[in-house]
Amino acid sequence: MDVNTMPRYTGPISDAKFPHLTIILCATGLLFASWFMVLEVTSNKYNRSILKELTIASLAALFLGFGTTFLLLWVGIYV
Amino acid sequence: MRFLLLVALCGLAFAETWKTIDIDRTIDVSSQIVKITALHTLENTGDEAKTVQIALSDDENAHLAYLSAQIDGVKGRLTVSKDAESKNGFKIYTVTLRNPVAKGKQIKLKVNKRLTAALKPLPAKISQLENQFVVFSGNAYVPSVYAVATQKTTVKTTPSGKILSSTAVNPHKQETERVSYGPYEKIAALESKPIKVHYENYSPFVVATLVERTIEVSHWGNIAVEEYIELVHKGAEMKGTFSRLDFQQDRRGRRQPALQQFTTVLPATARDIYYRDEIGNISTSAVRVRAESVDVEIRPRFPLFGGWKTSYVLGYNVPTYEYLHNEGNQYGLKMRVLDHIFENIVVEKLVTKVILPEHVRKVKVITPFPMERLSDEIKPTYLDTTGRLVVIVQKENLVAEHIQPFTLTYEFEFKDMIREPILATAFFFVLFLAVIVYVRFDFSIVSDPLLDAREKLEGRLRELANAVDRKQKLYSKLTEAAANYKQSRDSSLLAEAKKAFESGRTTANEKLSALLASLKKDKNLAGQGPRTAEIRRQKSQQKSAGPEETQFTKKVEESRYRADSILGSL
Repeated sequence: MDVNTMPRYTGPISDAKFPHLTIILCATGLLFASWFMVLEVTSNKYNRSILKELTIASLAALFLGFGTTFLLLWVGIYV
Repeated sequence: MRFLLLVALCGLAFAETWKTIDIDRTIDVSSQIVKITALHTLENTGDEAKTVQIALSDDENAHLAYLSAQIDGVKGRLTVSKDAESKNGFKIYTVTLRNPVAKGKQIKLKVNKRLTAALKPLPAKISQLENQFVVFSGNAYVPSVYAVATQKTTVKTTPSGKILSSTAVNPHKQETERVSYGPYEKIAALESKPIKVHYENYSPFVVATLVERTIEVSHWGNIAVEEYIELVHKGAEMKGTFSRLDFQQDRRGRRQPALQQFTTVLPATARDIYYRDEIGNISTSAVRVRAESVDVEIRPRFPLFGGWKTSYVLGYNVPTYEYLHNEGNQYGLKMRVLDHIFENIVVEKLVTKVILPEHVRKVKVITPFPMERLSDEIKPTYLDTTGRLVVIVQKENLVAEHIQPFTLTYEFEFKDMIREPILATAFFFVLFLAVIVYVRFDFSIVSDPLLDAREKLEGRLRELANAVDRKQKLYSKLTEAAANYKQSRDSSLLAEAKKAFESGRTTANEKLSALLASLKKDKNLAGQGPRTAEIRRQKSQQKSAGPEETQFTKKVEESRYRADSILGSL
């Protein structure tokens, strides 16, 4: 295997897109997270639904998880 | 006795089949490094030969940092044996030629040597305003395995620096900035004639006692480079006190034997450059972006005089496309094992660390020259589970000629990269899960039946409202079907809709009555239920309707209103 004949490697996402991705993903994630928290504090044991809570929680976690990763990359912590 | 030895040595030399016709040697001692370039013109007197032997004096060998040989005018270095055999105060290395040389043919062999710590300051201690003088000890005759027909040597000293003295070996000529020895004729093999040159050398003898170069590879498209450098001025030590005023007023300017500022040449793609020492950055620095490089000019916190030391950290980022190559899951990193620090620096110890992403496999390192590979380390950092692999190589005594690329190959899967955001996602999910579990705990000390009943009632009412909503949707579906029938005149569709409505209504009614029954039971518990439950009123929209239909719609609406008001009264 010769390194010189191999194609050059670039990251999967251009670093110019990190700020946009961070803002969009984190904003969406925070929206879901706040919806989740409002739901948690307003519902009582007779009207809460575990399925709804888990759906919103997983959506919030997914957006926040990817958003935070891109935030780290944006600020220069190359994970 | 001595003559006999010489004869014996000559005999040895003749067996080597080579004859040295001429040697032109230049010894550059203007910096702290002794740079020896010798051009040997050799003639093959024996059989076809593939190897040539070159000699270094023991003294040279002790200070040797770099040795290379090449055919003059041809690119590419020749292989020089790593081990040398000792002979009569000399070390003999074997050079392998690319093409065999036939009998009677000549070759021009260029031998480059770099010696470090070979210049001794004399006097060993000077005050701030004195000049630095050093002694170069060498050999008037070029060390050679074969007898030499003619040879000459030029010792180049510091520009516009004084030469105090030089050993005379006739013919010998001491000029400004240079001392020439020779030409000497018919010198036997392995002959030596020690010489000393005492001259002024104002270049700072700054040695990097430790260079720790860390290269962190991130597959998100970045390579972070950080160098921790410890510098010591190993020239004539400064005696007495240091005066800032004298330093500023010194008319020698840049020609003081102190390190005042330096320029580090970084790759052209370097960005996010940072410099700091032990307690932050107090320096005057500038970054100049040039076509082929990025130059960082740094004037440290204090000038470095003889015996003084300092340390600093210099870091920057470079994109991966310059140095990282890949094909499938195979990756190859090609980077410099040591990069430029400043002109004529000597590195006593270099430690190069390469931090690779997590879960890399089959790591192979190819260094441009022999280096010691230390045992791998693990470095845990952000979004890691098991920590990243750190490959460490080490070498001592390096000069600028050692700035060469190494190659590191490894295997890596893309899925190991996506694991990092998944890890962050899992963290947030666990947080939310904790909230879900927390709200399901009851932390009240005393139970409140009234509140409990009210909550229960609210829940029931919502269920009731949902049931009513559902039933109303059935009605609107039916009216819609009727409207459709008016246009399409398809009785089968209408019949189908009717059937669906009827079956739906029975189940809805059953549910409603069950809910109402349980609600009545609960009503006694909650003294006063909420007065209203919000239920949407839906208006069926019809643009044109016959009188019968309008009547029917009215009826539906009326019944709906009644249902709403009943629900409202609860």
